[in-house]
Amino acid sequence: MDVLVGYEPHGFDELLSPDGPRPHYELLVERLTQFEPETLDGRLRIIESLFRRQGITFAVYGSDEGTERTWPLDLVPRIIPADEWATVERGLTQRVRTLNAFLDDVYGEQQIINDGVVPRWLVESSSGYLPQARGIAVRSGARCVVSGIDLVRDDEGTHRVLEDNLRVPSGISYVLENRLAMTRVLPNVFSNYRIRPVGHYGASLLRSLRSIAPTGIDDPTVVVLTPGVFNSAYFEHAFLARQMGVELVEGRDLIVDDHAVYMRTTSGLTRVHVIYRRVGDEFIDPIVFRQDSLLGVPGLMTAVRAGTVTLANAIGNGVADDKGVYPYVPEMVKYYLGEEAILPNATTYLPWEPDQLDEILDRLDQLVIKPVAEAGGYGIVIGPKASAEELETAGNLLRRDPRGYIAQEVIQLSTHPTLAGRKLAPRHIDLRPFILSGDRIEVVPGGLTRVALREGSLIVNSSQGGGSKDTWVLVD
Amino acid sequence: MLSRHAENLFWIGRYLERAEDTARLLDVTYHSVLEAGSERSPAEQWEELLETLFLEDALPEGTPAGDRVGSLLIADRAYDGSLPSIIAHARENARITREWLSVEVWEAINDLHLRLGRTDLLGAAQGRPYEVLQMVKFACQAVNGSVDSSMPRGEGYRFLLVGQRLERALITARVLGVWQRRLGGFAAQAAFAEWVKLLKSVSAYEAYLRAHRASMDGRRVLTFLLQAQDFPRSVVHCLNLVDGVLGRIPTVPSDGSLRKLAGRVRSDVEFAELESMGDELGDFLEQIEEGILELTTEIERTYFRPVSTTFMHSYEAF
Repeated sequence: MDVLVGYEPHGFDELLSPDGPRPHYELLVERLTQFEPETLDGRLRIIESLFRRQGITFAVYGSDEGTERTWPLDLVPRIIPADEWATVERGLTQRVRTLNAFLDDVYGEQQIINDGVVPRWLVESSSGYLPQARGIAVRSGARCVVSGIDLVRDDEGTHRVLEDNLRVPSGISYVLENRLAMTRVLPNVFSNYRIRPVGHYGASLLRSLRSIAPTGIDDPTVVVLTPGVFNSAYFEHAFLARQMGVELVEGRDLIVDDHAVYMRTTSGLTRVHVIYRRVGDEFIDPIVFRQDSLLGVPGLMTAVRAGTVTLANAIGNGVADDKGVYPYVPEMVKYYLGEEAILPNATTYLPWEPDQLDEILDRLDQLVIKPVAEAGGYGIVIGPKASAEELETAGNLLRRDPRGYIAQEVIQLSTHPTLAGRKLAPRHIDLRPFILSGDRIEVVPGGLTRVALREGSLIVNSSQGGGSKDTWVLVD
Repeated sequence: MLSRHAENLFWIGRYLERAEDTARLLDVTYHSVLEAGSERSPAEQWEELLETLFLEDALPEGTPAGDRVGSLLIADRAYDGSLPSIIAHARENARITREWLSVEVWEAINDLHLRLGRTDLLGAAQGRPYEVLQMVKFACQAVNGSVDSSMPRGEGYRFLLVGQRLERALITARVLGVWQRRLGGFAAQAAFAEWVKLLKSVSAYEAYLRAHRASMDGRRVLTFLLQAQDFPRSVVHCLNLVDGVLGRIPTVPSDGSLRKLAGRVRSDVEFAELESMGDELGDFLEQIEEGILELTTEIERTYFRPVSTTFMHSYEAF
């Protein structure tokens, strides 16, 4: 097929610069030229049946088309050259180190608040701030064992942080499955590229988790705690348990006795030392948090307090990925590390500052409005695409609850060639890299590239009809 | 291993066995009704099928059974006892327990589920049920093959196996019990085709012929299906295996009560003096069924619900 005939991106395109294909994509273009559209279509079908057969699916809430959909993978991989990645990797390491320090501080001495860098009222009004977590220490300060930092590239090609996900970020299983599927279905596209592997993630995660086990345990027992089979990310929970070779437990499999956690097994009770939990804070212990939760473990927090078990990620992390706290992260980098932030934020306005609120309301139709505590693309209003009615509703919400929202300049996300029918078309993408914290910080090469499959759409979330791409980080 | 996972694997074994047996019994019934080798009416034979599968309540009271039973069991995805439901249950349990299954076993189960999902089951039930029934039987046996060749011989494998063999023992015992009630025992005369049907219901036709030449004798059939040490669907063969496997899964507390029960149920079958039994045979066959069910309950109590939850004393509020 003629890969780039009629391919006309508007903003920053990952593959095509105004002078032609970028050098690291030239080989890929050449390879793709050798395929007929029918062939690619056929390969796509193979992947789909591969995924369906293996059960690589995700659940879509509120859709009645069964509850499972196969994971949508686009066949055109995203390529990141080594030098570009080196900068991103340093930026991510710096950011996660900072956020870990911030959380340790907020739930400890609160120096950053006492020094007036982050306002106390802002922290304490965050729905993710849990006073119950005060005073609970975490080894190595590794509160964000797994972080997903969402990056976008603006129209100048600068990587910017769009949001931090420090509670239970998901998507890593798809990174690994995408790679596996691509090597099976399009092996010849890989040739002559040297791509950094991602398959060791399970081992790295297990190492990180074991490194923060309560002290004095020689051979800590790690488990993955899932809300259960009806959770949209259940496939991933099972996948990670398998990759690590540890038990996948539900709340009802665990029991707390005398400040220690045990799992119920066929040969009685077995001690548990580290829980990689994919259950939200508010559901984790019905005695301390939501009493109607059936997903958690009664008494778990007593064990956490007693230091007999470590939760990963730690509880209360939501205060650091609150979008109202996000604008302060560059300041935090300076405060804790004495460095300038390597990865800039998106330009953000704070509705609780009266002068900024006025400007936001004036320019409502040009800005993006985001609720501070939501994830997954829910509740976002994109000014330029919103109706007058939607804008009015958004304005009222902002006036009534300024702490509940932030406003950002619209970022024209970079585009990437994506299979659309029988040709390639530019579609907007973002990137969710995964960062592991334990006794050291490790960045998974690449991450999950999400792509908005509808033309012009800026929403890439899989729950909102987004797709994904295999993401290659090249070896130097 | 986690009690919940052990229970899921136990049920995967049971569901797969039940699916295979349901498919086989359906096939045998369709065949028997078509050929008219039995002197009994089709309605009675469909009722017999439901009784064998413990599904006496499948039809509203007073509804005459007919080949609607076939459609119900093959095509009604909403009915719990239907093939697509049983396989969906097996698949759901497998999905929850994936990290204990090999990739091959999971994919084989998932594949069968998906194939049933895209098959016109009602069309098959009303047209040519043979193909879909054969497909289910083969697929279940393929899963068994994958289990055998790809799963480590740990607890997960053992629970799956125990579930499967208990279900199999139960169905074989049930087939004999239903015959006893409906055809008046094993000393009575019955059409040759009825004996063939009985043996084929548990896949024993050719095995029996080889063991006893072609002499069709009720007492021998009964003995074969209960006590044959070398036939994998005889009740004693299944219970031997269950007994042996249970011996390799430690219990807490290790008071040996589960082994004792397994040994008793097995030896009740193994050493029964079938030749000398007269009218009491009916009661005896019922006792075997009950023994198997009791053993199942005891396994669940021992391994799946081992811990009493009387721990709630040590929570302090904070």
